[in-house]
Amino acid sequence: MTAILLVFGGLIAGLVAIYMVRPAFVTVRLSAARFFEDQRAAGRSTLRICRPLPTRSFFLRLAVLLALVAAIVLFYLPQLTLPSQQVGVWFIVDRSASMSTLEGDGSRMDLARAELKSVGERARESGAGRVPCFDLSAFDLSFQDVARDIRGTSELHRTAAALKPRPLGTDLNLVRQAVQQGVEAHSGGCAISQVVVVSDMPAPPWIWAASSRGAVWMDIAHPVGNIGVTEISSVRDPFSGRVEKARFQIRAFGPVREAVRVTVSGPGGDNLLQRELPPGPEQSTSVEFPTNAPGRYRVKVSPGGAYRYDDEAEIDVPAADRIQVDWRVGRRDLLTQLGWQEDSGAPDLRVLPVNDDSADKPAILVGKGFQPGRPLSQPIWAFWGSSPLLTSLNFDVAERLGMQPAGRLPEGFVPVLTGPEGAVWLAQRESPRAAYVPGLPSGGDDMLARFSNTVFLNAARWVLERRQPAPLFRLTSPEEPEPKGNLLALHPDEGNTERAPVSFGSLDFRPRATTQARQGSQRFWPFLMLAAIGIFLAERRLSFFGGARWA
Amino acid sequence: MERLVSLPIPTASLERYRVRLQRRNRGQFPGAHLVRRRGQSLEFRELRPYFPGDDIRHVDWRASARHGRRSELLVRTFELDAQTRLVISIDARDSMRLPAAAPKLQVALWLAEALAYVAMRSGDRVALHNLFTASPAAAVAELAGPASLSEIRRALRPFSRIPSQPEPLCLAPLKQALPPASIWLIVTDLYLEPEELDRIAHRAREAQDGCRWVILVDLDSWPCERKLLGEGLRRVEGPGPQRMDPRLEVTDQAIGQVESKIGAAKAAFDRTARAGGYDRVHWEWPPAAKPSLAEFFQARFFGDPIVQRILMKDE
Repeated sequence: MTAILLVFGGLIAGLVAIYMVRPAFVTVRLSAARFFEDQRAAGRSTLRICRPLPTRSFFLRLAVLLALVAAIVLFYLPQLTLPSQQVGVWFIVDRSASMSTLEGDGSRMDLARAELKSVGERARESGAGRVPCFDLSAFDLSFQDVARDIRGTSELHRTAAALKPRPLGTDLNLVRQAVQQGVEAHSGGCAISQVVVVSDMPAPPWIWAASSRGAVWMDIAHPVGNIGVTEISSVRDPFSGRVEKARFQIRAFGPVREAVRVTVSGPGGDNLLQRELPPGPEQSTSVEFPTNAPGRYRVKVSPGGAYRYDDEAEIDVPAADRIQVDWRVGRRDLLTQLGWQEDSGAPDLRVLPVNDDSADKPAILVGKGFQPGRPLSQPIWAFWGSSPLLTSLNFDVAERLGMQPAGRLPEGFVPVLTGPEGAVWLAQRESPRAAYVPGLPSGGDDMLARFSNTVFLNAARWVLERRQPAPLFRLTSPEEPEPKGNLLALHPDEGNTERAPVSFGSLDFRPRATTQARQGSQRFWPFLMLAAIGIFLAERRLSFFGGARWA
Repeated sequence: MERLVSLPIPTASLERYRVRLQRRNRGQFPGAHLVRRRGQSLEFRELRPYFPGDDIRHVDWRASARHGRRSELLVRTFELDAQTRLVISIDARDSMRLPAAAPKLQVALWLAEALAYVAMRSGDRVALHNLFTASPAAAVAELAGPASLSEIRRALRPFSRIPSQPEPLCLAPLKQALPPASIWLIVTDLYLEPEELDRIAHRAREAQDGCRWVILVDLDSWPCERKLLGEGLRRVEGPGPQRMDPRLEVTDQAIGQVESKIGAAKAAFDRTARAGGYDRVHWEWPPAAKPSLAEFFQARFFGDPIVQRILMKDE
């Protein structure tokens, strides 16, 4: 703004100078001018300095320039310094699990504390003898104000020393909301002029927009090597939900400098699997093992690198879970064959005749059965190709099985397979999940048996799909922050210690205008600009058409 | 000076002035009409013996042979023709429109208007001639009929129009417009190019050969312009050749040089033009920046003896 003001100051000075300089001669128009032709020209200066001519055009032009200067000052007013005001800094410190990453002789949290100290000292130096004040907040998966209106740097050091990393993930949206709310929303006794976010995460793109409000992102991380568990997955039986296999994804961030051993132990403590990763460039691997017995399985990565929360992980494999069924149709022998258990109290699934009244629960509705060969063939009129009920079905067989139409189905069912004249052979309902099948598995090994088995199992698999099996592990949360057993701190990206640091913004401890002041000043500068334009146009018009007194 | 300012003399005053001039004993001042009385009309009066100085063209050779004594010639004399012709040439260039506060052209037009009115009231014929015009056909405007100030002003209106560019000297129409024994009144400031000055002077000299009376009315605004000029650093603008650097220091020495150049130009004109029937009327502006032009004109018009001679009737 200083440059712009200098330019306009120069223009005003130039305008005044123009109106101060007048010709030193008087112009005379004579009829006898021709007789002066041979006279010698004047040797002295033909300009002289005198008081500004107080003409109307001079005042109009001066008004234009002054209005422009006032508009510029009001436009930049929010950024003007108020030297007498106290310096206030709001620190927002990352205390997620990754801040426990070891770097050199300490952790990243130690680096963050050192940064706080450094910034605090600079704030004190720029305060012109006044004691700066600080606010301190911390974030991981939650945002918390640690201390408000901290007076002086030594008090800041003491407060920051109490900050410890927590084995939790990082939610940058919380920081974004805090920064966007602005310094006014946070200011209490301490007038905040600078928001400093200290984290081991790279500066997000939105910090650019927030930098105009005094936000600075300081990424204190340096790339260090780490290896550990990044992902846990399992393979389950679709009917029973039994965990058949477990898999751990192991990933190295940065080159592996020494051999790393991955050991998997079972519920009895015996080693199920052991694998060794040789030294080399950045790499990843996965270990997969059968979970034949229920119980706790443990994977250990040794040595684990700079970040410790991904060095070990434990999962709990639940005992085989039998499906509880409310079976209200014939052929109870099928319960035994399928390994299901009859339970009419809290069933996972109901198997009901099509006209049963309690069909508003997850259920398989069974029709009147099949009559193969009667008639000989019934053409399929329409089918819903993407329906899971049709998986692996042979449509040629379906046309010869003499399936009986469903008749009237409960509300919400959508036909999946229809025969002549819209007769519904298969149907499904999304919520609550239910399927209509024409009949129970017939048994045997013929076409009818294979078709009826496939249709029934498709229906059972689809209806039971919504059942939530017990998880192998859980992640720590602000409510349960300490990892224990299968409560793990494997939050995404926390173990990625290899990122290059990205900081943004520069420290500027000058006090900032409040939003109210900014809005007040910025409300008026457009009017001043319009006034300047209006006066300029009026002056030009008068200059051209207003006669000699406006020239 | 597009607008013509009315003559600052009432018609009644002009009329009184005319009557007074007719009653006046011309004394030693021969009027223009007296000059013509020697007989320029076509109406024959009598024969009389030839005296040296008579126009040889008026010798009646037949009568001299029949009735005259030996070596005596008879000349024809004619009836007195009291009517005369007044041709007023007006210089309407840019220099005549200055000084702005008291333009010479205004005085020239007033003079032409007043003279034309009085002359026409006396039965004389008047023509107005534009000394500088690009259209010779329209250079001379004949004033006919009874004297009427509105008619005269209409005829004078073209002189007040500002031409878009300088116009050339136009003397050719005067051959027709100036019969012998007429009066040619030239109203100018003589701030002319030497070549133009020389042409006008020679034409004036030639005009005097036909018993024409040539009167130069020299409108001299220099005292007023000198007052305007003042002293010190000045930027001098005006018609005519322009200085490369129009700024100059006004000193007594510079003024003296300018005045001598003006005087030399006018003297040269007089020398060339004078041939017996030439008079110069010198109307010098008062030495004031804004003189009262109307008062100046009234004083000059009523007080100038040459103007009186132009308008005097013989007894």
